[in-house]
Amino acid sequence: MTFQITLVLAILGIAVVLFVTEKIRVDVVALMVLISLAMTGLVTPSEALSGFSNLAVITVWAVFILSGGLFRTGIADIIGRQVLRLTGKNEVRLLVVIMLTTSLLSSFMNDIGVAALLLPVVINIARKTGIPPSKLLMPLAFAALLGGLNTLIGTPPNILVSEALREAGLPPFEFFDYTPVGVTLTISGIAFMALVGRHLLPSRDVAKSVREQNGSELVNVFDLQERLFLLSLPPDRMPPEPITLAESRIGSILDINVLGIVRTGETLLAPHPKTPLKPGDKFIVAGRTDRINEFGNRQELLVEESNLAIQTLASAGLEVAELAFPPNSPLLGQNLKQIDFRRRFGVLVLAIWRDGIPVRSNVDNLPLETGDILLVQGLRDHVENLRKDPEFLVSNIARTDAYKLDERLMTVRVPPESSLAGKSLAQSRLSEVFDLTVLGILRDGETFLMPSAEETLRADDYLLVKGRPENLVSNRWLEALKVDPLRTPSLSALESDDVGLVEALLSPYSQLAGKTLNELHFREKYGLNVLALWREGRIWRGNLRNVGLRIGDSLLLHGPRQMTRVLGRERDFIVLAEEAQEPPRIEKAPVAVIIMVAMLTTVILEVIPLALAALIGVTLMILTGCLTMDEAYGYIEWKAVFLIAGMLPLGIAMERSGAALFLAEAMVELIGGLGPLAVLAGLYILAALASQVMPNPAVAVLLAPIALNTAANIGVSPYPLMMAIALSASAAFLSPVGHSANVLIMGPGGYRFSDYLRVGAPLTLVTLLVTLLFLPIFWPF
Amino acid sequence: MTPEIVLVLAILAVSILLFVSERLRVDLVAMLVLITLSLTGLVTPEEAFSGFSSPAVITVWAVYIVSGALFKSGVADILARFMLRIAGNDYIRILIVIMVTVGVMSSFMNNIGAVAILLPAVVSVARRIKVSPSKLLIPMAFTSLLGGKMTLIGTPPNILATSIMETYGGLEPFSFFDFTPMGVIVLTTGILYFIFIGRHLLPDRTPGGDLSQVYQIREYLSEVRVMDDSSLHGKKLSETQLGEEYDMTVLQIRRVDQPPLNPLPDQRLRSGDVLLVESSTDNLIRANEALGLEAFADWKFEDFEERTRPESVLVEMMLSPDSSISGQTLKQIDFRARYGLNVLAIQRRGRAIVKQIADIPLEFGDALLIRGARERIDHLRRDPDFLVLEAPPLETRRLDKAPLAVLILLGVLIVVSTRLLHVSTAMLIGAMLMVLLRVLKMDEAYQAIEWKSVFLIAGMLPMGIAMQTSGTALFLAEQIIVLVGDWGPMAVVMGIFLMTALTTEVMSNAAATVLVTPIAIDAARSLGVNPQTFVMAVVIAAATSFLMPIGHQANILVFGPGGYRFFDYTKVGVWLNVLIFIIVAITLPFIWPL
Repeated sequence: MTFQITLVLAILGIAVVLFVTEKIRVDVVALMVLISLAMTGLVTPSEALSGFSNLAVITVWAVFILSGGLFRTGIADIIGRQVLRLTGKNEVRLLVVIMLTTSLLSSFMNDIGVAALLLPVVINIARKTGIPPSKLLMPLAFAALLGGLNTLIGTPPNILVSEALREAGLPPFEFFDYTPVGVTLTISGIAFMALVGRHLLPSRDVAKSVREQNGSELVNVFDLQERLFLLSLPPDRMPPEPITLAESRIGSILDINVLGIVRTGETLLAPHPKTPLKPGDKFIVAGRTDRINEFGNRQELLVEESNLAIQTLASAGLEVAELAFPPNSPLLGQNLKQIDFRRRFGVLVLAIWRDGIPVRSNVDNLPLETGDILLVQGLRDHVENLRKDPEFLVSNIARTDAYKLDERLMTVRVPPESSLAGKSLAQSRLSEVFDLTVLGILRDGETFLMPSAEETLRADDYLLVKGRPENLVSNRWLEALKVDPLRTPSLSALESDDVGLVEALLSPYSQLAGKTLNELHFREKYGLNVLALWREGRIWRGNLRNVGLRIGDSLLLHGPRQMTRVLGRERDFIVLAEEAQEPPRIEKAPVAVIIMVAMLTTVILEVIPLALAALIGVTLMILTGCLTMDEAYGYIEWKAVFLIAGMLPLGIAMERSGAALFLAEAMVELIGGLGPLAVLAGLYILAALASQVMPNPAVAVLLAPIALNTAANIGVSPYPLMMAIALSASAAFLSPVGHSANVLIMGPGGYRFSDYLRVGAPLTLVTLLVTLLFLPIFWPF
Repeated sequence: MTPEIVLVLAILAVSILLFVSERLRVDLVAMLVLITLSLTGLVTPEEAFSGFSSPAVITVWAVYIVSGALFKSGVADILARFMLRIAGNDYIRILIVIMVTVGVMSSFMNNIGAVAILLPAVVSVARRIKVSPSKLLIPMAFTSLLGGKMTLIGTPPNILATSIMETYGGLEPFSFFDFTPMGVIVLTTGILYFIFIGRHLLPDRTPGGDLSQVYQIREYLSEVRVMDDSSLHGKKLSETQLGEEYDMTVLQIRRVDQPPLNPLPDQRLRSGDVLLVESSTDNLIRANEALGLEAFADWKFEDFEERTRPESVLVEMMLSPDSSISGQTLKQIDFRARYGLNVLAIQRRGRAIVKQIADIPLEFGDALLIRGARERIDHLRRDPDFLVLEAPPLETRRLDKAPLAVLILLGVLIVVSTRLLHVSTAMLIGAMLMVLLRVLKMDEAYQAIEWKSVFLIAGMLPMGIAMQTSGTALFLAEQIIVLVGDWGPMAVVMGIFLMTALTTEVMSNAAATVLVTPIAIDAARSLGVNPQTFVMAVVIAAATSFLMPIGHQANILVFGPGGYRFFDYTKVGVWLNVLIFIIVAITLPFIWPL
């Protein structure tokens, strides 16, 4: 083992560790591999970059675009819907037809694209026939993976091993070379799923009630029923002056979602925040009752002393100052909450001076304007920091009285019976419920100014707060809200012609993964309420606005149907309702088919290389208007492209340094004596295991040189070994993380990790046996 | 002239025609060039695709990522804001500060990015000092092009030319700061030109910054009352077909003793409602007769603005350079439902479009006049697809990462300028560090890459190869020498400068660089003089696309907000072109002796 081999193996080892730990994204890892190979001199700089112009890489992105063209023109959609609609209600027949259609489409399209496309269709069928989606979705995803094995362009590993053969000076695989084995595998896979697999598929309990209560299945799946309530309010307890839904702050105070307002004769569903409330209104809400019950029963706070002098706020370590902004400050236009002012700058804003008058209430939600002056309180150090910050102009407080802040300062006591005792300031939600800002706590004769949000309140604490005494009672009317025990809102009441419940998934093409609903301003932007989130078999309902979204998350949404259609047209979401899909360019469908067929013909006749043919197909699709150039870029999965381009140099380095030969020899030594079939099985299992923890294209890139060397070493044809790698790398059935098609269906199917193992392990065994049986027949050693 | 040369020239001619006619997008044309060259066998398939892994292309996209990181971390904002703050209120001082700022920024990030960051701030500064934005925007766009000449990574042509020098005949490539002397000279020339001459040639288009006048919408706005016998009574707005039948947009509904209503689709109309509509007079008369509406005769726009000011505002907005919605119509993206705002007019290539705007595919460079509630406009400011021209976007910047981003950039610059690593490797490492240290996410990195430029360059590079291998470059170089060689090598340099400057007006400056650089190198070799002088001339000439708005994306971006007409660019730009030609002819031989 030379030093170079050690170096290559070390880089390989680190890369594998990084892939497995998933701390760093796979494409970033691949680029790091590329850079370290170039820096260590294992490959030349131009070889390091050569991955980007590798014919396999070009083919991969060109096929992504072609697949996008088929997607955009709706061909796959038409085929999928027509076939599936004609199938009837028999579960086995449905399963077989779904798997056949999916695998056929994914022979020519991107696997994940096919899965994303057929997902809403299959969900709809499940809803109509009453078959639980969990019985159909995993077959859908597995068929998409199996179908990828049928042709050269079915999935990137096929293209990669073929290109590896070509670069080794051997004739590459042709377009249909994969077909005999691929089709055999697909058929055995379908047969397995129809005969055995479907009994292993989970059938969630929630699904049973689906059959019984048609029309409201979504609510059941998300266990929503137990969280739906009707709140009623005696007419005499309405606040005297008219207020709107938003002004009542009923949602934020009680931590509930208002889904509808019932008033004489009509139900306003998904009411606009500006809807004025009327006496006698009842509210259909989703949420937990404890807050509502808790809210009414106790005396939370007692006013002790109001109109305190502002000097109370300045103590040894604290300072009160005025803060102005330059006219082009980036903070303008945002409110203090968005800016996260207190945490970022360590000071508390007491009031805003605007247009000659002090604004003292609700300052957190007011977008800052040019000319605003903030009255702030904070530790001397923090104020000192602000003074140094060129973003602010700080002046020592000169106009204390002008703010008339004393009218707004008071002390309140936490009575022993208050539910606030024992809660932290953050949990107390004093700002949401009473619009009070706690400036200090007086406890045992001592004053803590600027308490932290984690500070726990105790009985008989005195709080120094900013706010109005009326605040404590202004929401009192909400106490009168009572959960109507007799009339639980009927589920159908949540839907009407204009308003409905839909389920939406984060699409695999989405850029939003990792962002929270809050960051996306989801509710403000789409006017849809997120009622629940389904992830990895669990339902999440509390505090959804701050949960980072993941690919495959399924969201239950309530709101105007028009907005769900808007959502359906965003690339970032797949709305699981057929009418919400973006209308495809149907009129271009024949053109797209002709282009695809022409391209395949030239490839099969070997007139031109695959990469060039695919690129010609792409330009023709764009020239004929099947899709635009920008859409084309959008359909390229850059993650996969950069991953492959970054890993290819490692393949070169393995070959060059002799690491591939070294590993091949080790392999031969281990199992070579058992004959080529054992070697084949060994490689297959190695690739299958590796593809569980590593991205499949990376597996193909790394194992290809080993397979080539092994074949040369034991003197057999490299073709069966190479094909085994490609097949095995793509057949990732064992876990949801093995392939993004598996992740996609996890939410809507309500699957757990173990479900994949239970169904996937026998299927993997089946594919292994079928491969060992048939591969040597079609591709003899 | 061999058959290969004829073939290459034919392909070249067709591609130039396609570039000029603008029927196809430039990146698509480049792909067609790549395919044609490969099908005709002028290059091998490997050569045809080699552009994608050329160090130049890698450097270009890595620079886009680094540039995106500077944007995301707010470094660029901080710089822009600081500069504008010290500018004060004097027009000339502001003009100078803007030009210097954009020049410096675009020497380290891509030009269009620098312009896009400054655009909202500059427009609001113009409003503040009551100067028409047209007096500031062309200088900003032009100096961004010149500023890009100051460093190796300032603009793709610099990277491309350097890379071609390296690969084509193994010349000594330019180092990072080799560009700086000439870059500073042309940037200074540009700034002085605008201070003394250019600013007088700039049009004064938008007096007082009154948007309704710029967009010529006043005559299209009117108020109508729904009469008692109107067929609209009781109908939902979505059922009225006012848009489809009469090309009429309802902007607001007023009802007795109620605050004005926003026109939501399910809003039902009642008799007595007063609708503010946007429509041409013909359609209005037609609609009034057919539907039972009554127009107010002496209605004035000003009264209306005054009355609705608190709730509704009028703002101008553009598609951002990397917007994902270009090419789609307002109807397709459901603009009104999605954002709750009305588009009143579109300003495109110096013309205001008021009719049928819902069905016009939006283009990069369009400016849209929008009216609606303040809070809805704030949503728009958060949307990376749009650039609202009033204040910086509300997109959250990762300010805590700003020092890190600057450090990484400095590190890369040191490594590159000391030639420790090849520029492509160094930029790639810089881009990776930005991602690893979470200055920006990998998805954002992909978004920051302008794939259009990447594919354009990758597609045109094989053309450069074909020109070399077929001898076309040499052939053209000889023609030029025959033409102007009698006046000495400097005349040849300036001839090539002129050729590049003309080419770059009709095609992207990157494509122009790829095509002309091999010719320049061959010309220098035939004459036996220093090729670096020739290549430097090409690189500078590639930045001089001042004659037409379509010459460079930065020009297109300021087209709408400046309210410019097509020939404004020519009027201002032609003298700058001449001036730079003269200055380069004088100074170039001193800095890069032949």
